[in-house]
Amino acid sequence: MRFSQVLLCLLLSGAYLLSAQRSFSQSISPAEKSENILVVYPEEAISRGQADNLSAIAQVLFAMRYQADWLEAAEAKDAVKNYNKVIWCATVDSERMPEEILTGYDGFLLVLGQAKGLDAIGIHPIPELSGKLIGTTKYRFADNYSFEASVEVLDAGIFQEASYTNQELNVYGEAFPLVSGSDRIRYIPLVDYTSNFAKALLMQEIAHWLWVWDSPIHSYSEYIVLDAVYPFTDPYRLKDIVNYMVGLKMNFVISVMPIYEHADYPAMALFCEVLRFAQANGGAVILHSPIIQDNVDPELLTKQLNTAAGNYFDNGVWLLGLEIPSEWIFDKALTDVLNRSRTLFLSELDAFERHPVNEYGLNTYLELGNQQIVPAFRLDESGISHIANCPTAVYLNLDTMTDDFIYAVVDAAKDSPIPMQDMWSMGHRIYMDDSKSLLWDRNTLTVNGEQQFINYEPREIEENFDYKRNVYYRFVTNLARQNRFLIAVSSVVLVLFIFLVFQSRRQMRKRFLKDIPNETKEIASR
Amino acid sequence: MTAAEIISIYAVAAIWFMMLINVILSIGGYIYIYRCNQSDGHIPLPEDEYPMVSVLVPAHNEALVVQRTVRALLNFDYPDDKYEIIVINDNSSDDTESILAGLAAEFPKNRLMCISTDKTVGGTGKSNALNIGFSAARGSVIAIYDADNTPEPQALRLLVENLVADPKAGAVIGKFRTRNRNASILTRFVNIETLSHQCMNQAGRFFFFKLCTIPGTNYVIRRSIVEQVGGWDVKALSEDTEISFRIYRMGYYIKQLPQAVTWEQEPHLLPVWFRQRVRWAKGNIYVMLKNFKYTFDRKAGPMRLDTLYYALTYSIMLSSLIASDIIFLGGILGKITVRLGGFSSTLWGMAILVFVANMMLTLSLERNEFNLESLGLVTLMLFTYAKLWVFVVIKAIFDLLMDALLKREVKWDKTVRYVETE
Repeated sequence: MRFSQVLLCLLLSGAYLLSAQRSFSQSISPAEKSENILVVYPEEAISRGQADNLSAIAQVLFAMRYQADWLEAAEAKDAVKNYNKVIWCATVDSERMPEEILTGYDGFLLVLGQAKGLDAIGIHPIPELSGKLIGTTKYRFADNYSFEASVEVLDAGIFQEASYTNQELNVYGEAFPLVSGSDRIRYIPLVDYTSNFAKALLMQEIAHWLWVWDSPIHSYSEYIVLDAVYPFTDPYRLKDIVNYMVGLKMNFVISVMPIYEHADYPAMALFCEVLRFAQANGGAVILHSPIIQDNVDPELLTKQLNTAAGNYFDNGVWLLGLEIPSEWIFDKALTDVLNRSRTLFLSELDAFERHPVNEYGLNTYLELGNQQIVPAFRLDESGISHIANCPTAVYLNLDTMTDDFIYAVVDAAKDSPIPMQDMWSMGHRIYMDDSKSLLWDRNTLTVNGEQQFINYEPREIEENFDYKRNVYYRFVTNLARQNRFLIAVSSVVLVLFIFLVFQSRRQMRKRFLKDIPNETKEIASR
Repeated sequence: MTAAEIISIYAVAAIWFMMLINVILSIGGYIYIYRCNQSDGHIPLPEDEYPMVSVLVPAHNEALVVQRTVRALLNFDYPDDKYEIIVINDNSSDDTESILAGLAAEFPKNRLMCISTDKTVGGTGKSNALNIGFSAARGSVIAIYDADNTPEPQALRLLVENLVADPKAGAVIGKFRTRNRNASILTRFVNIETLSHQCMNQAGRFFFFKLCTIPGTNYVIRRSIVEQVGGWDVKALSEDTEISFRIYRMGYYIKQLPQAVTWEQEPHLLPVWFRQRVRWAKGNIYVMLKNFKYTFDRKAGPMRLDTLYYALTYSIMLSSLIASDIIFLGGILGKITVRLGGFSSTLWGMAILVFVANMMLTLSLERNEFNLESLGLVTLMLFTYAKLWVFVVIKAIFDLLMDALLKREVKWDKTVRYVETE
């Protein structure tokens, strides 16, 4: 290439970069406002029993992976202008009038509950719906999947010039729009969101409210998870269930409990045989978190996960994710631990109910970019998800559920319009340490730095396994007994010694008193 | 299970095993001393039946202490014509000889004999000096005192009476106390150790098994026995332990008598103490190796237990303490991780309490020893003085190996004395 051509290339590249930078800076200028959703609630909300309601809304936002900031109305007045998405929770009777907060706000707005004080933005109370009323509504979540429930409203109204309405609210035989709004504004008059029905409804409406593109709303798949399967569970029962799902050509997940010792036992080998067969036939395996009753020690947890992952990797079982309790996402000390798995399943969302509102916004976990799957909001007995607005998991517990129930749920999931997610169709990363890592990327599996395959090849299970159940091993594996024994012996020895000390001191005193006259006599005789 | 965890279990098991043995010995020792304390220990003989006693005092460069010792020996409450004092001035280069000559002139009526040796026949250790003194002894009973001792006036009479009264006793040993206990913190530790190990432990072994090793001073032994065993073993650095095992093998036992007390000067400086203890450890290992074969000999009787006890002390106790210290240090430095389920810190605390209680039990039997100061010292001792034992034995083993490899002659390391202020 000649010099002039090189110079031309450089000039063109420079011009392109400058223009790209300019268009980028132009595109981010509206983003001076926070990308988070601002949730505003009246000051009286908590004192008037709205904590559960706010927790339910937080769960919905978390499940949809929205970062939210939570402010009381008084604090929100100046903050609203910094947001582009605001939810006004008027689910409780309050003195606070929303005009003073929302006046001048022109971003996305979702109003939940009361309609009063919102005339300026087009939401007007309906006289027939004034006061606290119970009505019914039938909500359609998907084709052929509508559910009816009784709902509660309080001084409800309607968005007057609605360009969008959805479903009906029936009160005293009269029908009103359940959801009404415009491009940017939504109004839902319900005041109680703690039921699964209300959460699912809210999730669907939020998805619609914030979907600004012309294309259909993005839908997520769901996961069938055989939950908390212990390594020494009945492998034949597990095999039957796995075979059933394989027969239906379903994708599924097995969440296995961690194992720290005896990973070389034949029972573990047999268990892993079923797991390897499953992962080669549409199934995937994730690691369930250890059951920890007290505070979680991050260092110990890392060690436990490390050991458990190593034991499964050694048996050819490739763990693609981690199942954790929701409590852990509130614990900042565990951020590093959770980040060791890109894919995280949450067993439940109960933790929101135990934490105050001011902690809902402290969730740094979402910022890590992990793939999170939340438990499905159960709308019927099967418990399978009927909403596709976030990835959800239907957990089936082999210990507490009968085979018939499990098969019925599997059948229902199979017939559901929401497809089952194949975990092998997504990328996954597990990193415990350099010797216990897994990367599934572009259909290539790398475990501990070496390429591995998921095809199933039976392994031989040792028949004459030495369980090392002799006296020595019994001794070293059950030190608690020796510990108790030695403490008991020491206690007896201490009590005995103290008694003997008293005895000897008594004897010494007697001797001393006896010696005094003798010594006096001796001195006198001198 | 990792190697560190297996070693940890071994260490914990071994330490507790040895500690429980010592607890049992302490209980036996307590009962024995408690019983002894109920009498004055005398078994009076008709005055003319007291045997002739030769008191042997080996002295190598003992000018600083020997005068006080001899004066104390001259002050024995024992018929004057029934005991002689033979001081073996063993190749001394100091004023020991002239001091002894002065004493002999001062007490012409007493039988104070001084045998001076030169480097040709003497200066090779305590055993050799005792053999020289024994060759000149006339008594049917031999009493041994170190040159730094100040025995109480009754000590010799008590020892002799108990020896004469019991034909199965080959020797009778008394108790030795620390004369300079307040000289330094080291001598305070030595004082407690002396009472607990030398006295209580010995008493426990005697109570249960009629086993008791000679401590090197303040004991009497039958002349006939010394003649039969051919004197003291000149190769042994702890001639006292060595001759004890030979007495056992002859079918005699050695009796402990805590009422017969001598006071001795203990090293007040760490280097002096260390050298003395290394010599003792070397001597004990020599005796253990020499007699270990009897552990499996049924004819050896209860002596087997003593050989086993010594073997356990220098193998299991030593290795478990080294292992636990390494694991403890490794744990602190983050180099060793031990995860043993079941063992609690309560147990660790209990081990300390048992150790402290064991020591305090011993001190409770003594006058002016059972107090808060002692409690503090005992606790401090566990983490300081007691730890030094490991280094002492390691050095002793190293020296013995070097002696064997280089074919070096076993050398007697004289304990350095100092002038005590009253």
